[in-house]
Amino acid sequence: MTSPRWEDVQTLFAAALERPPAERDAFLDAACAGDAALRAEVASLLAAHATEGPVDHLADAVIDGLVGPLRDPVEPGDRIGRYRVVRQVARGGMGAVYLAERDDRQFQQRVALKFLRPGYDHEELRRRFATERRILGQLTHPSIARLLDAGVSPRGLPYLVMEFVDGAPIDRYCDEHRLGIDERLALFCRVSDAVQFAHQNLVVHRDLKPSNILVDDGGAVKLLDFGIAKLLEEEAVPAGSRAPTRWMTPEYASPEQIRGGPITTATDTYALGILLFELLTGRRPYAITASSPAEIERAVCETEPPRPSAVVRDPPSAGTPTSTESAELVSAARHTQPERLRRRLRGDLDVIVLHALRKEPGRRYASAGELADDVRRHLAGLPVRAQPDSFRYRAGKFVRRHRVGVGAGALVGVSLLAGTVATAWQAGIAARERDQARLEAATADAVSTFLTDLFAISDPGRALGADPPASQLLATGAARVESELAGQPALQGRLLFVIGDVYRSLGRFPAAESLLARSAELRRATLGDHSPELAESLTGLATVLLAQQRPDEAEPLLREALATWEAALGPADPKVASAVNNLGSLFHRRGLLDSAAAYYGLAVALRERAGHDTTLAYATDLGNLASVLARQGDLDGADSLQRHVLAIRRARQAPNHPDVAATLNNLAVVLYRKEDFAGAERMLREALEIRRTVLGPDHPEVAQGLNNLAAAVEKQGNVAEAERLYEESLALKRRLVGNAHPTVATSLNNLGLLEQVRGNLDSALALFREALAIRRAAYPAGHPSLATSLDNLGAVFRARGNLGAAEGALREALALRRRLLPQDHPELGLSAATLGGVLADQGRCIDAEPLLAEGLRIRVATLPVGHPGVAAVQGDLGRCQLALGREVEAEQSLLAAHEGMTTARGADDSATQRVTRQLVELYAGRGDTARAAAYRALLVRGGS
Amino acid sequence: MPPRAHTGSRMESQTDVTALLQAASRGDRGALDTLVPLIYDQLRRIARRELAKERPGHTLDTTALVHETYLKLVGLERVEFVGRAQFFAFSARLMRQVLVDHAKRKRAQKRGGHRVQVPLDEIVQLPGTHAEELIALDDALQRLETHSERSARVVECRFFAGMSIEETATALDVSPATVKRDWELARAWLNRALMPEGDST
Repeated sequence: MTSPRWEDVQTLFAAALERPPAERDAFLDAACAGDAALRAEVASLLAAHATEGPVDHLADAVIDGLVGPLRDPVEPGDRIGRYRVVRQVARGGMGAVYLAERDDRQFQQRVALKFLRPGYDHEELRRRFATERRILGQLTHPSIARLLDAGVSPRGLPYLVMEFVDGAPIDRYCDEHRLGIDERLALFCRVSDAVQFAHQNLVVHRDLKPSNILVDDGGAVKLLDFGIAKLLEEEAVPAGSRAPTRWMTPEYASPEQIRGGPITTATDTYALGILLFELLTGRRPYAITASSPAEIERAVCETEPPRPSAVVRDPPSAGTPTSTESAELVSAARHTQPERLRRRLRGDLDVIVLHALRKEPGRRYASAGELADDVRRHLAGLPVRAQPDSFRYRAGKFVRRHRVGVGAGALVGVSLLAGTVATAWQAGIAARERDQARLEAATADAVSTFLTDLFAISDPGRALGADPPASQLLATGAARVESELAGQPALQGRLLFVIGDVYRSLGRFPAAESLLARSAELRRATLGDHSPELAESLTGLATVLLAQQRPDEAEPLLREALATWEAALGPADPKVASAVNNLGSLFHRRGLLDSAAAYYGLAVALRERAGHDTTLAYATDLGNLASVLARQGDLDGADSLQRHVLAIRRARQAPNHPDVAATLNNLAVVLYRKEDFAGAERMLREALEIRRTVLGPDHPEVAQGLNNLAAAVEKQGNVAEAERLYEESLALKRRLVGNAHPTVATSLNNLGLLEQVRGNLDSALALFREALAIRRAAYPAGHPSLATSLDNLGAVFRARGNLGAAEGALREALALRRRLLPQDHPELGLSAATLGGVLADQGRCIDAEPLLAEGLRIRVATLPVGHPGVAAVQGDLGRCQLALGREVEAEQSLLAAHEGMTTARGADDSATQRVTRQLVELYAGRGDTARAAAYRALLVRGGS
Repeated sequence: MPPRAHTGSRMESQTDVTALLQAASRGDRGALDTLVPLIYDQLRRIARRELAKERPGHTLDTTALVHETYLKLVGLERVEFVGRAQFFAFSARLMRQVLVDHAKRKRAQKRGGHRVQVPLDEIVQLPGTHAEELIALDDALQRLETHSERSARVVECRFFAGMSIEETATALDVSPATVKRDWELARAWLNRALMPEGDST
């Protein structure tokens, strides 16, 4: 059957319409003349014509949908439910708010009608309102506006009915009444009390902000919209397939709201923190201008908030202003002047606000009540409970774990500082006033600045992505400084320092060393022994020496620089903290981790004390401390510190700055140790990309990046790519730093591990041997890297059956680790267990047993449940216990080992089989023939 | 050469719009994509102004709204070049495009992600259910077009540009009686197609 022709349908349709409805049937019968399809089609269309359909409604709805939301939802005089609309009082993100009166004559009640934006599912909203209203109805508190009712207007717009509050938003109220800081704090406490009351009733506001906190003329506070945000929040889709839509205001939203984490009372605490920040300073902590979710997330979740006292200034520092008001105006609104306001905020109030604004909900005030308590303690002159988010917190975990070590180390650092301050201040004063030479430097200052800037551009850290330099320019520059400026040694000293430092940043250490040494020599000759400029050259030189693994030569230079800066500039100067950090770096390289941590921690503390805790130098020191923590096994601590460092750098540096790459690299190392290999790989690839772009392909940091990437790739099973990356890294390192540098040993070691896993024991042995030889030559005795090499070497010897050589290497490794590491460190456990295994292999069970027991204890404590590394030690231990005739213990160990190994490696694996044989032997010896037979049955053919 | 005073960006952008409209009327999809947001913004701006001076109870004159939108975009004097009648028919088609695209974006947006609160006047929403219906209507119109292209044009003028029978007749250069006939059949046909149980061809 073919469809009727449109023209025929149209002709008949039009003709039928011209007839009265009663005659149409007969007309169609006649006109269609037996064409049933045509008749049915026209009849159906005539039926459709007679009724209204979607097209008729849609026409209005579409236009209304387009412009409707621009239109006011109601007009004054309209009746909505039991209420009569009086006037519009506000409109905003949620919709429009009207003052309305209940006019059923029984009693007069003024209410606020809040119309929601179209687009909500009315039914869903009503349903949820029905469940929430019982809870919200109980929320009776003088400072909380009550939610009374909800409904849908005749035009189909949902609305809420709330207690009407005639007041001004709290921020405006405070400014208009020029409330001082104490008065603002008192008002804030009342707000917090109301929030606390709601929290006790298990209601979280979720959208606290000034426009929801009104103050009436009598100074009474009323909080609006309690629980509304939750009411409006769409149901989460099950199975986490989609994030629920969240109702929030980006400026006041907490990191967990932005990220879709769980909402708790701490979410309100955070919003109160922003409010307090704003009431105190007239600004908000983050500039949220972008509406892209990613940018908002970065601002809220990664940027560290500034201290309130730091934002009261003109012009406001980048990233913080949310108000265009000058510091003068802000202060005037608080009955004070900028300097006095800054002083008032510094200390307690800074600490309280930042405590409320912590990124992690668990580290904020747990409730609004605790926050209010601390504000009241401050008002009463009592010490506040909040602690600065400082070195003390971040390293706290580390300190608890290594109390003795840090105590002693920190003491060394502190006494060193105290000593030098006392003796050297005088020298500083003397040094300041002399020296002809300094005059010369001053006159040449303009020239010097110009050249300094010219050369500084070649520092790839500054000239991002630009063609790195101009080695030619540097070489000729250095030569010209020597020849053409021969009569101006002070200027020569300065320029040679700059050129040398550029060489250093390019990784050209020998050239850098000679220029920096010459610079120090010139400056000492012209400026004397106590000039900050000399300290600068000495530090540069020491840095190059350290980079070349010559810490013994570097140490006296660093100590001299520290003493000089402290004397000349005072202990709060950032250069002093830098010098302390440099000494930490020196100990770090020597492998003296406790001392390194103490110096790094001291540098961090000095900067925090000076208020420099968002600076790049602070980030550097903190990153160093994190590296030591990681090295000492505090991976969570290191992780948190490194992320903090990354946040500071990302906020302050270009996205492809080499320092960002370095931090990414360091964070990746921590993730790697936490066995998050995919996460580590991601960060390493990003870091490598930056380094190749900005530093060029032939740079030591590129080689380091390749090596680390290889390790992460290898752990994920891609051995071939890992090998290729290791080889590439190794070749680059040999070319850049020669064959004797420890970094070459790192690559060799990693390649050796790879070969060992592949079963190429001979190549592995050769690689480990070369690595160990390099490390022995480069490091002092007792360096932790030696232990790594020795352990690896020992494991290969053992695998080859060369037990004597294995024992020698492993004993040395274990001795090193006992000296360096806390007694529950995983690497110590590994060393003890491996050595114990070798001794057990030799049948020396009396010696082996305590080592195996120690190794097992540490492994059980530090490895995840079911890790095959635990079962292996249990197997060795059981074997020894059996040999020593301690059957009961042996049975226990062997059964545990058997179970773990069967799960991890399978029943037929050779190590599992060895344990199975031990069990057969044990049960047979005991006369338990049934069990012996059961285990014998598990032996593969050929095993006996 | 005389100084080129005051040939500023406004003139230029109007010329661009005219060129885009002409390209779009020749079926250039890229030109259409460029035009849609421009038109939509303009439409909202005018609608908001009209609503602001509107008295309670009045409804918006959508025909005037659409016409003014195009006049604003193209510039009054330029309309002559395009041909008024043809232009208005085309404008109805564009309107269809604008509204349907908007509905589709709306639907896509409903499928997830966080909602970040923005001020009321930053977004204009089509209620979700209407968005679906509008898209269904657009589909049905495409099918109608295979039967009778002229009927589809009539629906566009009447429905999407709110034109009267007479205006539509002028725009499409046919008699008002033809428009009336086309409109009645098309309306019945579309209503049937959009009914929940409707069986369409």
